[in-house]
Amino acid sequence: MTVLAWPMPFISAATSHDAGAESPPDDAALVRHILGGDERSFAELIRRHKSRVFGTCSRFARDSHELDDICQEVFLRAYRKLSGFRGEAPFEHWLATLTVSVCYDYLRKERRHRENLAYNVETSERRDVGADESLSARRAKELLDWAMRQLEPEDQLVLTLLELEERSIREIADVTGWGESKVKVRAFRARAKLKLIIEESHES
Amino acid sequence: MNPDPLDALFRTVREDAPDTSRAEFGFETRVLARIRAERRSSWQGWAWRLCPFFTALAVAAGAWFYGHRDGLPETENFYDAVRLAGTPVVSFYLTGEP
Repeated sequence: MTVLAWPMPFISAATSHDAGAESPPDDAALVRHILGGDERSFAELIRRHKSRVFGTCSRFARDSHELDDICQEVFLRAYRKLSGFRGEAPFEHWLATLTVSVCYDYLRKERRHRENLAYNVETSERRDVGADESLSARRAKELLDWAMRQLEPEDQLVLTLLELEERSIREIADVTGWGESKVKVRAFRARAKLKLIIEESHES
Repeated sequence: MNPDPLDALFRTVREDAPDTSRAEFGFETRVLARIRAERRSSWQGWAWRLCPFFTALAVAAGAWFYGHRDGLPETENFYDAVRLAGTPVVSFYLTGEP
């Protein structure tokens, strides 16, 4: 396990009487230290934000390997683009935008390489979607994954953020860089398409 | 009123948030290792990219010296001098007298 040792600037700022009250550096200070070449500060930054990043990325990844790959890509991209962080907004907002961007890239890449997957859940279970309380969460996730993968990456992204991450239209507009009206229209159409896909799967 | 099946599906999946604690374990170590590996490979990449340049430089320098070797002073070689002129040369080298 990596033991974090604060670099000298943090320690030298503390005097003997307030050393015990020294608060950990904020994200902006950590970013400055990382840009100065301090890797341990980046480890601390990852430690602070990884749960949120994993939470978002887990909605897009199919398994734990993909999840690890996507999350690593988020932090690698953050490391490369750190000089572009101006500190005007909180670091977590900047990282959230980057996370969504990486997830969107993943969806597009995944769509290009994806074969036409056949979903082989029993028809009886598919018919019971939503109505049957006993439908297991795992089956529901499988069905939703399958149906979502029939959609365009933009549709998948907006529905995941809106319905699974429960983000507001405004938040989605912020992290995607789209206008609010575009998010609303996209979400409405994506929802209609998803409904149709699931209904057609019931009939087949 | 029947709930929208799609809403029910979303709710079921949303409430079953995956546990990522295992995947998060040691994550920062893996990311830092990848950053170091990328940095190392980028140095190696540059070294490989510069290889043709330095090879061309060495060939050009060799060609230049080969072309200008007539203008360079002959290197004095003690052994060659002894072989050609015999013991007087040894005496000259040791005593400084002709």
